[in-house]
Amino acid sequence: MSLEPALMSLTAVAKAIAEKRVSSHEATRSCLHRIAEWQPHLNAFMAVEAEAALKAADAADAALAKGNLRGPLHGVPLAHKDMYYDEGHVVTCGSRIRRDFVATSTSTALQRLKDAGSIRLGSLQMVEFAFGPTGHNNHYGAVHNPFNVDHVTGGSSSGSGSAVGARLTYGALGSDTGGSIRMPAHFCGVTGLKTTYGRISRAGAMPLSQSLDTVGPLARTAEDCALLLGLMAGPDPEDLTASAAPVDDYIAAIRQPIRGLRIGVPATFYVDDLDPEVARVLDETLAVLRGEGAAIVKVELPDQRQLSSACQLVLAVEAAAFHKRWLIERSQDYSPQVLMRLQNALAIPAVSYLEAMRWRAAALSAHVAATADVDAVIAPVAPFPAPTLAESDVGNSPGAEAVIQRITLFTRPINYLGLPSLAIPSGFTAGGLPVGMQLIGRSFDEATLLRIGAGFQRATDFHDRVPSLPSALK
Amino acid sequence: MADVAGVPVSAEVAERIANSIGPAFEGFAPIAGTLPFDLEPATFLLVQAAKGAR
Repeated sequence: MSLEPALMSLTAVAKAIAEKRVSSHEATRSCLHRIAEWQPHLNAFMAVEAEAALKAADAADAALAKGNLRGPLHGVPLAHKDMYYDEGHVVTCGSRIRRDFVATSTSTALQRLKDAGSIRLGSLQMVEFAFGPTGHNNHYGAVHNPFNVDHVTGGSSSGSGSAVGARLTYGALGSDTGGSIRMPAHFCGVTGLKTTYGRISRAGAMPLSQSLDTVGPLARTAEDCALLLGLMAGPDPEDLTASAAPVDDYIAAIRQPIRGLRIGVPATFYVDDLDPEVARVLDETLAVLRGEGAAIVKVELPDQRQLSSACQLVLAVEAAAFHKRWLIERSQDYSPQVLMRLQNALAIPAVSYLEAMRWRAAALSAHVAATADVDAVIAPVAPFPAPTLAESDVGNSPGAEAVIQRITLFTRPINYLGLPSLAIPSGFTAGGLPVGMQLIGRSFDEATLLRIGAGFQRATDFHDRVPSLPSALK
Repeated sequence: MADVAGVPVSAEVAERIANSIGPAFEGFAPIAGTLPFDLEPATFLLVQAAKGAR
């Protein structure tokens, strides 16, 4: 075995464990070794449970020795955003308020990954109550970007992006309400899948906005995301918003070539005012897709700023409603920025919120009509690569909301429409920061996005770039 | 508005709230007040599940 096990993809290590070429103990110890090396510099983990993880790995190896393969993730160590309830474990939601909250049940998404045989490495950092796009956290400290520790990871799934990027876990659950999976994927050089609203059950996942919240994976490759999605998708009696729409064979989908697919490039909005390096990566990505046989065509989308504004109204009101009791009783326990943003929602009239909810159907219809001739749309995840921690630490300053809106400009419209979107590592800046593009698809058509993502990753190696700690930090 | 919601905030915070949320209202203004009478939120799920949308 020449490759350090932690550097393998999730799909590769799962296969290697099943074929007894790598033991779960070896894979887990390899991840723990990297965690020990990187955690002081990244702060990606909320909790590391080394002893329990190795014990679970040994049990998985013993079961396999007796011929008992639990599922497609047998013995694969994973860690997830600290907002997925896991019975008997503390789930902080990145907050002071839930610092000691012990879950009494396990979230459906997490349970399905456990049922497939995965084991727990610990829990991952996140933005307080998932309400912020940068990765700062006043209570537990900011999470750092593995490609340059002076830069942000993006949020709110900050630990998920950082830990997957640094190869500390093979994959991680995130959540995406306004861009919280795609942003860390873009900034940290990993693949992240925001699923269709309703594709994966949200039962036992901390709520932020019931109309917008989606569960999804961050992993190294589109193939890894396909594997994880296939295990989690589908209806759930514990969450009636989880759709009964048929679950595609995502692994079969990624093996299909992308030749002949039509990919739309927005004529405006997503291509306006881009950082020059993001614009360059977009052009290079289109060239690769063309080279693989896809047809690249321009699409005229409806006004995306209106979608973004509607998303903001819905998200803010629903978040404030979840938090109202704590806003009254424990306002001092919130960080200033999260408190400010929750308080902001108090100024939104119920009629405005309901108008934003009523418009959703019409807005989705207009999008469907505008994209009828393409299989997917491609756009940057954000107009710029990861900013530094210092320049994006806006706290509750008067301009904070404007900064937040700019970071999430390209992701919010997709949440409002409930569409799936796959963020893929697409290039690097001259300074070595990752740049990601998002593929936006039709409702419940994650298969096509994964197919395009996998095709792109067969032709490029951006997803294989492993960050290294500068010698000064070792 | 904060008073109505029962959440205590200072005058300074109230002013900041108004300034922060303003752009969202401006962005949504072209839509506000224009929707057909019989459009309701759950219609979104029908559109999402419709053939052609998938």
